[in-house]
Amino acid sequence: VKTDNFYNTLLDQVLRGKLSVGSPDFCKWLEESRENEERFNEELVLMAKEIETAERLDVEQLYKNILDGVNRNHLKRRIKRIMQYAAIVFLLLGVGGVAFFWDTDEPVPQTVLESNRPVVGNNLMTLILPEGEQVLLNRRDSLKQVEGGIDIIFENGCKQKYRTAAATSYNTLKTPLCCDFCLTLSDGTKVWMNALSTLRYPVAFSKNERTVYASGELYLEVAKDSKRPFYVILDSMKIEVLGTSFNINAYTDDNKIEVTLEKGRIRAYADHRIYDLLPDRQLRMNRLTKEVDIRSVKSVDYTLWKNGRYVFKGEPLCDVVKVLKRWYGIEFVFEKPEFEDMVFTGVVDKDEAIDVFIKRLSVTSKVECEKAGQKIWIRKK
Amino acid sequence: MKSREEFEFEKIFRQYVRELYVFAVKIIEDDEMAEDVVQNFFIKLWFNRKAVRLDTSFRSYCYTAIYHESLNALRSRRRFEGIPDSIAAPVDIHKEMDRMDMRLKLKNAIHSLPERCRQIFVSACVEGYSYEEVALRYNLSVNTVKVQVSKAFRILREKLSEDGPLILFLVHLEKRLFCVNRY
Repeated sequence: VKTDNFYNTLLDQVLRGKLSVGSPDFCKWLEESRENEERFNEELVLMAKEIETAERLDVEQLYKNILDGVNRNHLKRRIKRIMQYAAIVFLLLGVGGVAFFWDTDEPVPQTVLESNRPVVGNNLMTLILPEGEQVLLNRRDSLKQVEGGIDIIFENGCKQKYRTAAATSYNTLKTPLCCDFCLTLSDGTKVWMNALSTLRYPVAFSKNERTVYASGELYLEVAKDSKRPFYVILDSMKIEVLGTSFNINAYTDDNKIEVTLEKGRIRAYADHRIYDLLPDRQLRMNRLTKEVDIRSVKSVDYTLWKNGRYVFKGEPLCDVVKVLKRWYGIEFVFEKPEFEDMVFTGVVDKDEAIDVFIKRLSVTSKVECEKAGQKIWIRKK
Repeated sequence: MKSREEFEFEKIFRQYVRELYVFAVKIIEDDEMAEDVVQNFFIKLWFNRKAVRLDTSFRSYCYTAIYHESLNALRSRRRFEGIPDSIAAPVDIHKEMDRMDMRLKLKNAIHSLPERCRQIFVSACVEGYSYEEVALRYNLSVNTVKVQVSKAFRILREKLSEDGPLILFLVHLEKRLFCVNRY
């Protein structure tokens, strides 16, 4: 008597291509019961799904990614080799030198502001202390945070102290037009803020989590700390981070929120749903309809603003001028609504005057720009 | 200009990428993560190209590597999501590898189905739509859909049993001579 196990192996052998479907043994098994036939059909469906999975794969894109990865790794290996040589040189210099530089002072957690951009006009950053007091900051001021209080050291060296109420209170930083800068929070997280953006951060982070509130455009390089997850709270989304770099574009006067991941992994909570994001993926949410989509992007296109450049790749003019308005504070007026849909590709250097963009647009397209006060008119040539 | 090595690498990539992807998806059950695993595997393969031998065990080497990479990916995702680590269901690598012949035969058999019959089979069985949805989509009665699906299974079985040995022979021939894309 043939056991059930034997038939299992018969089916198994067929699926492994070792026995033909038409072989008498297998046909006999198939016709024995309706159940057997259904089991075979289920296996066929499973296999058909595997075929479908294989066909879904974008082989060309994957190959491109692999070549990119190979090139990046080449560079990494070269750097690693240089570092090895550097390490040897250090060893030769001797341990004495290391001891000389050894710093025994325990570091005070501090928030450090820095900017490599020259000040344009009178655009100063505003720091709002927990009591509501507003302080205008210069770019080279550094904020030194001590527990429960804050020291602001000005560029010229005169020191001024602002004491804050409780450890759980929050400071708010606001950037004006035409101003971007970078700060390092007390946990080591680096934040780049673009123009017209806001960051609310605690005077001291709590022991179990790090939470900041943001709006506008920000790029974050979150310091790894597996014991304290990092949360960024936007007006209609919460982002959970575990040590990663990513870009947020969430201006409140815009309908969309864009979160672009460069490295690591983040998780977004929006409208009672959870989205996990992989590198080079962008999550977009429409504030009004709450619609969310995730697409593949080149993340560098979305983070170059922090290096002083805006990159536009085939974007409609109405979106381009929105970005420029936030930087230059200049309003664009379209003579005809169809100009809004004109596609613009190019790079705008943040240090350039707006005139450079206007000139470039006039030369390369069918429209003409005219500057009148704080407005730029776009009309037909 | 492509180097000879790069040319060989691309050939191997195209030959194995889809089946390795299917295998990774089977373990991870997440398309994007599986894609990452396959991508990392081929990047590593490029750097190990001098050490890896392209003999009969190469395919099983690929499968084993993908298996371990996939388990690692699963583990790090669990850690990220705070789910305690558990033991993954054991996978018989050779059993998975052997499915290729049958998969190719089935693919040909599905393509030989009459147009309408194939569409209905794919929507109802592969894409997982309910009979009602399929009926609505093609403007048919639910009963007609059921009839078409069982017709599809009947034809598939016939096709699979009739020219089985011939295709099997062709596959092996193809494998040796051209190293073509398996799908």
